Amino acid sequence: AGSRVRPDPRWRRRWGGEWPLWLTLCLGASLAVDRGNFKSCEQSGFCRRQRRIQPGNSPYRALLESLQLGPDVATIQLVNEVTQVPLLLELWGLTGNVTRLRIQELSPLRPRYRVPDVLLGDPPAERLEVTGRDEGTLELSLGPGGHRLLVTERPFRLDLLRQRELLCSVNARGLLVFEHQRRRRDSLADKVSSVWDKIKSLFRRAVPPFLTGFVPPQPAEPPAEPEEEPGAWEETFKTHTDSKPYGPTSVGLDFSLPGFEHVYGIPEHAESLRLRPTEGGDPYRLYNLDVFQYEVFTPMALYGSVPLLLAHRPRLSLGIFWLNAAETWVDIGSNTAGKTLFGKLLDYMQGGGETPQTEVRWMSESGVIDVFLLLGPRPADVTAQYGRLTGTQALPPLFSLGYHQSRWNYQDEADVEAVERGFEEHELPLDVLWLDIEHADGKRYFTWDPAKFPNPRGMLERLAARKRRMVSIVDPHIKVDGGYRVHTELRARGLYVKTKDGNDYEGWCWPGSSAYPDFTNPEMREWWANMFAFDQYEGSTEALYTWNDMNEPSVFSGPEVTMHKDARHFGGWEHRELHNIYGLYVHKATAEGLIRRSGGRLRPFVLSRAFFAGSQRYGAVWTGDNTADWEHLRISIPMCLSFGLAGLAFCGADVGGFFQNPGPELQVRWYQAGAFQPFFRAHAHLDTARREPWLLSPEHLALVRAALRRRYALLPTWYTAFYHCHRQGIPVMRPLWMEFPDDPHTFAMDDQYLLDRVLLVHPVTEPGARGVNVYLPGEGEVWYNDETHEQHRAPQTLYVPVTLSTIPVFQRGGTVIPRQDRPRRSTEAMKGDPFTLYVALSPQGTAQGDLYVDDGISFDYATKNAFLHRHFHFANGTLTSSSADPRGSMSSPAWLERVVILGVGRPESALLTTHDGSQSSLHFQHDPERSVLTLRRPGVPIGADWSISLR
Amino acid sequence: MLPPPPLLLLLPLVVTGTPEVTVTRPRGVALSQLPFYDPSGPFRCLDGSGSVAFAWVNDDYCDCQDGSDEPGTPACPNGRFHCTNAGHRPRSVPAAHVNDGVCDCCDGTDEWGSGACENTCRERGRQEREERLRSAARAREGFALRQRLVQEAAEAKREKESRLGALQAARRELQARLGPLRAAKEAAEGPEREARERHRPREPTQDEAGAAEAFAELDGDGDGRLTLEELRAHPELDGAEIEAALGSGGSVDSGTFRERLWGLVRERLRPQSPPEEEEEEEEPEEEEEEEEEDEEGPEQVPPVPPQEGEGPPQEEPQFDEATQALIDAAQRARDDLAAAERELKEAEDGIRALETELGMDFGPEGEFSYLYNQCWELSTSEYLYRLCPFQRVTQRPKNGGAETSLGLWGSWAGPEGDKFGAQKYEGGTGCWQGPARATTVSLRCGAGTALRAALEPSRCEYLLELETPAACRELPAGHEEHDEL
Repeated sequence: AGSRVRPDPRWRRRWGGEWPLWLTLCLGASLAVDRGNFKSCEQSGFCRRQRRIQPGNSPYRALLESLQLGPDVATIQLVNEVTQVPLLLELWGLTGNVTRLRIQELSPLRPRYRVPDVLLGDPPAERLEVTGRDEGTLELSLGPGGHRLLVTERPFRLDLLRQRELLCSVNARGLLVFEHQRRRRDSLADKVSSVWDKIKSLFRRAVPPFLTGFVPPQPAEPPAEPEEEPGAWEETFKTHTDSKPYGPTSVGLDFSLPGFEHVYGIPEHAESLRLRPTEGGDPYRLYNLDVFQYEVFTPMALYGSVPLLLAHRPRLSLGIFWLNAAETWVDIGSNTAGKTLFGKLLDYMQGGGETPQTEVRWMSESGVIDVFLLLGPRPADVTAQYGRLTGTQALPPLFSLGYHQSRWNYQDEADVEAVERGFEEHELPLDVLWLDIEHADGKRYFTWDPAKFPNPRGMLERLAARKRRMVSIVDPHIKVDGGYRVHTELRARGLYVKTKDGNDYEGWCWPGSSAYPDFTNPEMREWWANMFAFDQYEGSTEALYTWNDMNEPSVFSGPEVTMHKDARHFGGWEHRELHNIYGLYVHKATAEGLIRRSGGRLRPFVLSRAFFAGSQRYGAVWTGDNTADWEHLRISIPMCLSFGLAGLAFCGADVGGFFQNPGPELQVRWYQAGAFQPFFRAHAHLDTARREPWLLSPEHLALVRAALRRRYALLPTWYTAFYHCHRQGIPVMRPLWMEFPDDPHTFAMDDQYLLDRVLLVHPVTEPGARGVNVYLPGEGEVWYNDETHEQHRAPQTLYVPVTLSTIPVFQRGGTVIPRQDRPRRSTEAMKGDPFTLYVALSPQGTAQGDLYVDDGISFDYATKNAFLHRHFHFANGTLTSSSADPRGSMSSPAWLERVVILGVGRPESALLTTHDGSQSSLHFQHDPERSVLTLRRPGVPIGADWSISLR
Repeated sequence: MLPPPPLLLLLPLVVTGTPEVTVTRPRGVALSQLPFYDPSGPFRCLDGSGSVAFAWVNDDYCDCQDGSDEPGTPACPNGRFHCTNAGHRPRSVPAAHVNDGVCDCCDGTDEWGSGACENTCRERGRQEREERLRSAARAREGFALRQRLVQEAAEAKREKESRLGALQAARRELQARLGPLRAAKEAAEGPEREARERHRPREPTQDEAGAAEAFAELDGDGDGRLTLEELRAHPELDGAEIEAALGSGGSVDSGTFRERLWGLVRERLRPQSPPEEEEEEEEPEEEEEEEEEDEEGPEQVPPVPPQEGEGPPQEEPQFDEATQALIDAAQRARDDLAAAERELKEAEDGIRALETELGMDFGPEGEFSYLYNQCWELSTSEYLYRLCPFQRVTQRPKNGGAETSLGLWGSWAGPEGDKFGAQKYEGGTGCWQGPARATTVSLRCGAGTALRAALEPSRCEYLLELETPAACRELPAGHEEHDEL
């Protein structure tokens, strides 16, 4: 369903007069999110407690004498001087400019949750050395990168330096919080001991300075407790009570980033690319939630969470990866936030201004403090560092980069057939048709409604015969129904999430009463993966792929529309510890199922709504249930840019908007924008009017067709960009500052972006637009209009007049992009089609680019090196094709159809030299007005070495 | 270098009625276009935009803006590939479908490079021919039925028009009779009243006294006339019929009050006092009031309204013969008037219905008129759909639940040139967060009349398919063989 939705009144009738509370709540607001359904920081106990702590009074002291230097890790004890609770700090200098720090209780009452299955493995570490000691300070060198870490004793703080430059300080504001585990006291003892505690703590504060040497902690007796406020051992939100059997366990830490004014990341929020200071409002919240009709520009939590924040300033990019899967809030502070540009200028001229600085404060409800400081220095280094830790985007099967047509719901086999026929008749390319929840028999996933889909296999075969595929939805809530095999097996095997009392956890979702498989249990994931075998998922074929929706998990009857925090998972962990990673496990198990059904041969395609750090390894994600308005079209760009920075490169937004009906102009503009976003799917709510493209006027339909064809022509560029991402972790859809890191103009820009490094895209997102202002970055560079090939100098802000047919896209001078210009019916129908190279010359007359090709569907590229990676280089009038990666080899029938060189004069001749040395002269055309040279039919195989010289 | 794809192809071409001949033509070119592809000279793009060496025709590179140099390859985005499809129907497919592994032409020629397809034209041609024969037979049968419908419609229309004429005449005649009948009633009632008066004891009855008392009470300003304002001061007397009885003059004296109003107000003003005398005309009023029960209230057995003829027979005072004759005469005059009024109303209802029906657009020849005043149903897995053409569409869930209106008759809504191909029904039950439900009924030719399909392509937008002979059109002679090679 894509979708949390208000129930149809007819549905209501069926369920009689009793209105569940969640349902009443849903019906409250009309077309906006009901904020009252979701917690503010004030309503979330630990966030409220932590935010009340004032900076500058850190009770923590580093016991420098306790330093132990292992082969990889340095450990130092910390102690809270008020409570005397000892903590253990571990420090690593990881290979590739990453520093890791972890803080845990030295002797916890019970183990704390350390997030598994996110890191690819134990990251290799450099050898640490003590390079200096001082009174109250310790200096560690962190491997060959020239990074040093200063550990200050009291109050405890860390300063990370590269040479003499301070990169980042930890606990500089003294907001380290570690609510140690404690025993719940009965009320009488509580009163007595709290008085005693006060006395003790008074005494301890008065410890004279000469006694502050290393005091071994005494964990034998439960340490003194600070006074507990109400809610520490039980919290109630609306009608839901969280039993909190382990009391307060939250953690928090602050990071100071001197010189930084721009921070990004921590998806998912419907927010601008650049994060805003949170003072005076709520912090950004990370807690996977099914938010009905979300609004834009709020720090509210949405469906997914990646606790990775990036910071950027000229010459330096950093990342902070806070590996914690519990509910998390992030406060952003800025010392220049309130200042005008003029004010900053004044500061600068008077020399008295502070250095701009951003403060980042993380607060999580439980778990440990486990932080990776990604030290760049370039933007692409940070994303690569993150990719080495958590994995990079899975290389998508090629078809999934084509166009997807979805709707809640294509009703039956005849409907599917008719919609696909519409694409044929109107000559619109299409790769995948989608089936939402109504396709299943009573929302029992892995089944088909026998009346509407009596012959799914035949339907899938018909689609496959026209080189198309299908996706069906498989959600993680399982109908409680004794006649449903999935339910009876999971119940019998005890694989459901449990309540705090040990019963199967049940909640209300699409099928009615539902239970939730415990995907954190490897046995559960194994069972689930096996369900995708062709003989288990009846009616499925190789042409059927999967969509995991509602995997936050969405529980209509639960607190904040999700699972109770005191529910129990595998290993006895509470849901609160791992909430944000539940969706990742669903995604992972499903992707593994699709791999397994092909005997490990074929790549999976799985779309997920919830996500966590590492979800990029399992497939695509999208921005959930958006709305058909211009704001939501605009926000799709910064949202997908933020996803990409956090590793989730395969991102898209429902084209046209999920809720409500787009007008024709909005629909066309959304297709144009969507054609240039990684995951390109139109989707719509059950209650919206039909909006297949041919229902538009012929004029609008032609514009949609043009947008779709532009997408398909650029698929080689998309696929190559995904290959870069897969190998290096660099996003496909990139903020400008990633490629122009020294140009502050680009730092907050999010109405335009780069596709890979080659195309600058500025979609039109205003109704009735007559023109857009496009910023073309790059000192001394040129850009070429992708349609007219007109050349523009940079940097400049270019006013581009637009009509409804215009998608402002520019190719960067100095790049080569591969295209396949033949408008086929699907990506598979393009297999073997010849390529055209668009060579856009820099002012120096050079260009380079690459092309990645493989079979588009299997793992042979990885297991057998069955791929082609070609490098194209233009200099001194000669374009050369050579192998970019000698490991790869593959026979491909594809050949070079045409070369278009932008920004070049008319040559006398164009001479093609093939790998065996034979030469032939190419026909060409030259457009002197635009300086465009088109070389006709070089005809060489795309995998071969060759060169073309202009004379 | 890849070898350029084959330029020309020898195509065996079957020309109907002549022996098999072999014509050389570039791949993908229709016979009619062949003269433009002359290998002896350069090829001129068909749009005149340029000219290329003939060797560049079908060399898998697009040179002409109109795609005409690559009719047999997928090189041009706007090219068209012609397939002969011997045994079936020739087709022109997008050149982008050439060699994409999907069979677009039944003769398989679009997949000359991939070899993915077999020639299925003969089989397809045969199937299609058979299907066309079947559908032509259906269409003919349907058309014959339609002609009968047209005839019947014309007859029915004539009959209805004449009925309308008759009703209109009857109405005129009844309207003319009403005046005299009213006068006759008035005339007969005067003597009747006098006779009754004479027959009755002179002192005012208890009821008359009550009326006088009530009049005095109601006549607030004591001027001897009761006005609307004075009546309205007594909310318990609120009621349209009372105001109506007050008449156009807006006020009454005590006598008129007793005659016209007392009967109406007595019960409300004096609920306790049992009436001694009942005037027959006023009886029905009470029944209406009783019906205003709270519908949502617990169900009760409604009190049985007093029925005439039940209970002890009303004691009618005995009159002498002459008085009785006057009373009988007045009663006859009243009955005559009431009967005429009833007839007039019936005539007017009939006229209205006929005018509505005759005003409907039942198609160019009235062929759809037979659908009027009938309903058809279709049962799907979830719902029972009911279409009453020119009236309404409804849907009832099979597992119980209330009927939902999917729209009331709106208009003919076929596409341009086929206005009578579809009907629109609008303003059905409102949709949650959306507009009112609406239905399009598409009409298709068939030998019988039946609902064939019911769909909800978008939420609350329904599509019904009604098969009817009225939608059949005359087929041109030889239709079955048309379009065949």
